[in-house]
Amino acid sequence: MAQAKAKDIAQEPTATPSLLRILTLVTVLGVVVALVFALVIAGTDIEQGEVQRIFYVHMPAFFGAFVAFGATVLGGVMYLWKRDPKWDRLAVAGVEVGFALALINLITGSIWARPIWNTWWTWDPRLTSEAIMVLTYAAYMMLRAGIDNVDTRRRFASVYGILAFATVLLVLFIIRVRDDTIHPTVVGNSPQNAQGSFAATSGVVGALMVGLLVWGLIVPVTLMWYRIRLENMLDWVNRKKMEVLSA
Amino acid sequence: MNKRYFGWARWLVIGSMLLLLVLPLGAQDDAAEGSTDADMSEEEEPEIPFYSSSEGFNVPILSTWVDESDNMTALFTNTDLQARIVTAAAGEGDDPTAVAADKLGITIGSEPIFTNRVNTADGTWEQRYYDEGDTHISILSKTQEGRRYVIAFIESNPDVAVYMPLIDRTWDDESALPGIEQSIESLGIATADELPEPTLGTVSLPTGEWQTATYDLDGTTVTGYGLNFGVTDYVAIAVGDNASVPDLVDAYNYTLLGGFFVTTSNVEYLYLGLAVVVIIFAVLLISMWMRWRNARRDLRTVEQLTSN
Amino acid sequence: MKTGFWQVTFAVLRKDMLAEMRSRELLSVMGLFALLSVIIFSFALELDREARETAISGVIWVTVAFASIIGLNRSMNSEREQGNFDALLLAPVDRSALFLGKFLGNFLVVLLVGLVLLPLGTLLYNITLIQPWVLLILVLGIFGLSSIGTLLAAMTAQTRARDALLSIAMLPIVLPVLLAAVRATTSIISNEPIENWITWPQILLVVDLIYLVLCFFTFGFVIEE
Repeated sequence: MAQAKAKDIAQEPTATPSLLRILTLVTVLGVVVALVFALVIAGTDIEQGEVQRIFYVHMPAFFGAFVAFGATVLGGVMYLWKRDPKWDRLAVAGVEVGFALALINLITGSIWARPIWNTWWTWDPRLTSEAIMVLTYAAYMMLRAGIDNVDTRRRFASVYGILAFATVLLVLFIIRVRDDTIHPTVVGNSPQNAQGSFAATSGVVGALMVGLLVWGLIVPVTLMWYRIRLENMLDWVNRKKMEVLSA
Repeated sequence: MNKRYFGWARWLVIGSMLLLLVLPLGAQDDAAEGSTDADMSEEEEPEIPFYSSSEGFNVPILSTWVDESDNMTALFTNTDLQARIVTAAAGEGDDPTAVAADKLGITIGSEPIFTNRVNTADGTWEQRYYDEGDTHISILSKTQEGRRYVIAFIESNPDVAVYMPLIDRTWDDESALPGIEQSIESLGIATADELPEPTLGTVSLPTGEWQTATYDLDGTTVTGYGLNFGVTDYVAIAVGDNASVPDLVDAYNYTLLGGFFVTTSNVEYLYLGLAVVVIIFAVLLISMWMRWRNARRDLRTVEQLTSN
Repeated sequence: MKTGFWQVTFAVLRKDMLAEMRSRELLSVMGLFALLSVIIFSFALELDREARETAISGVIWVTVAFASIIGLNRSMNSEREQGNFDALLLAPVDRSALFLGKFLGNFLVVLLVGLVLLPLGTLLYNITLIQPWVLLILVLGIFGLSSIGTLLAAMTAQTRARDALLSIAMLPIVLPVLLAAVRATTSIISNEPIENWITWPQILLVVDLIYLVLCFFTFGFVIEE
């Protein structure tokens, strides 16, 4: 226990490191480039119309959430092993950023479905499991909020963060075990009974690749870095408060 | 004891995480094997190249015809068959005949020989048929989302008159013959009573299995093609030399059946989606910034307390 | 000196079973809940035979899941109120053995409730649920529910919201178990050929094993003080 206590020290908050400044700039530029690719360079999908462009954010957002929740698993395992709070800070950053991205994924999907499927929501296996995943991480945040003791909170959150990843895997692979999902692939079929499929719209692959890089990697990493710094700050303030109280 | 516990436990935790990844990967392989048949049939479908107009409609490109389309209007010409197919968009109130004549660069002076409205699976089409001597024109038009879309078929072969009417399917059996005879009557070629017994047949074209009926009307050959397509029968009537009919029927109906459709305008949903993305990121960033600001204020208070 | 792993496991299991046999508190509460739930569902759904066939497995599994949540809360809260874990943690015993003991106890109690549910469902819904394959699915499903449930109950018992938090923390994570169990049960009671649904018990088995291994090794982190 003494060992755990000794490590329970937040680093003194520093000024924003220059690498993070550069990364922030890259992120802002990346978002602009991704939007240009999605809204200007990619051709309009002749079947689905303009709303199809939402896909260039929708799908990468899920992979961003996947990366962030993956970071939570890594943070959880490493915290349980090393008991260094920095790993727990990574885990909580992953959950919060992943939650935002998963929410974007869920809501943009719903908005896309309205003109295309003519409904905001359908109890499709993939949509349902995605909603369950979002709720699982909401439960994670409630679990954290429900525990006062810092060490207990970190331990429990680590364990739950590892378990919660099962729902992420479920979303990814439910399509394999339940093939009755109506969730689409990239290129759809003709609305009438044409004897073939459309040629792929131009620029889809480019917009998707840039989208994946930006929303799926750069944005979550930058946001998580800021969130880690915030958590460190909060830990530092708490430690200072404790010092004052015990003095 | 603690140390020993973590020593072996950590590898098992990591190992079990890997195991967790193996399951879905395994399931994926199984599913992939099971669905090869479906994948194969999908791959075998040919890709149809589409012409997409800046006016928002799309038609399949007729690869054997000469493509004279511009940005807004699709125009396919076949000089051997002396036929043209034009697809255009115009204002909702515009006269489809005037639009077609303008796009084809011709004048249509006569009154239509036949006109009515047909409800197809794809909406309500108004159809008009003109007989301008050697030139015969079939014009389909419909309004959708505030635009009028016109598909016109024009044929100038002096040896034959070809029309492409759509007929509401009001009879029960599979036969296309009632549609063909109804068309012949509507177009004023002959009344049902005047028609002799037809020679029946079928022709297999890329657009489907067409039923044919050939009449000998006082020495003139009248050829009817009919295709049962749910609520509508697609018909072609040729008076005279019918050698070019299969090609014309297939080309025109490839445009109709094969996929004329209007790209839906739903850009407002795109804006809504982008607004949601902005709002969610804004909530996250503002909440992080507020917590950071509050923490820094607390830190300052604490530092003041300690320095005192 | 260290007490043997299985000795600890069975000591914990025997303690729980003895306490339960004396008070019958858990079984009576869970049994009554299960009975009520099945009856209320049959009222709420007012089903014809075909609809009953597709709905009954959902009814059974939702009932089992909620009954197990009730049981787990009781079992962990009493453990905590009486300070049993704190005492056990002072003893040089393997924490995984504690988990296994608690898990087996919960598993047996919930299984008992599930076993009561089968004839009850058969009676009320007029569908034969007492089949060897259904029993196997019941055992596998409850196995998965209990392993995750035991771990999470040990966690949520130490939080402020306690009972409320267990259901929202547990239900999403046991979803793969419930999904596979419901699908398998539905297929079995509608007499589908075995090759149509045999993957579900297999998936259930694999998920059970993964969850057991995960819970087995993370339980130590949950109860250390």
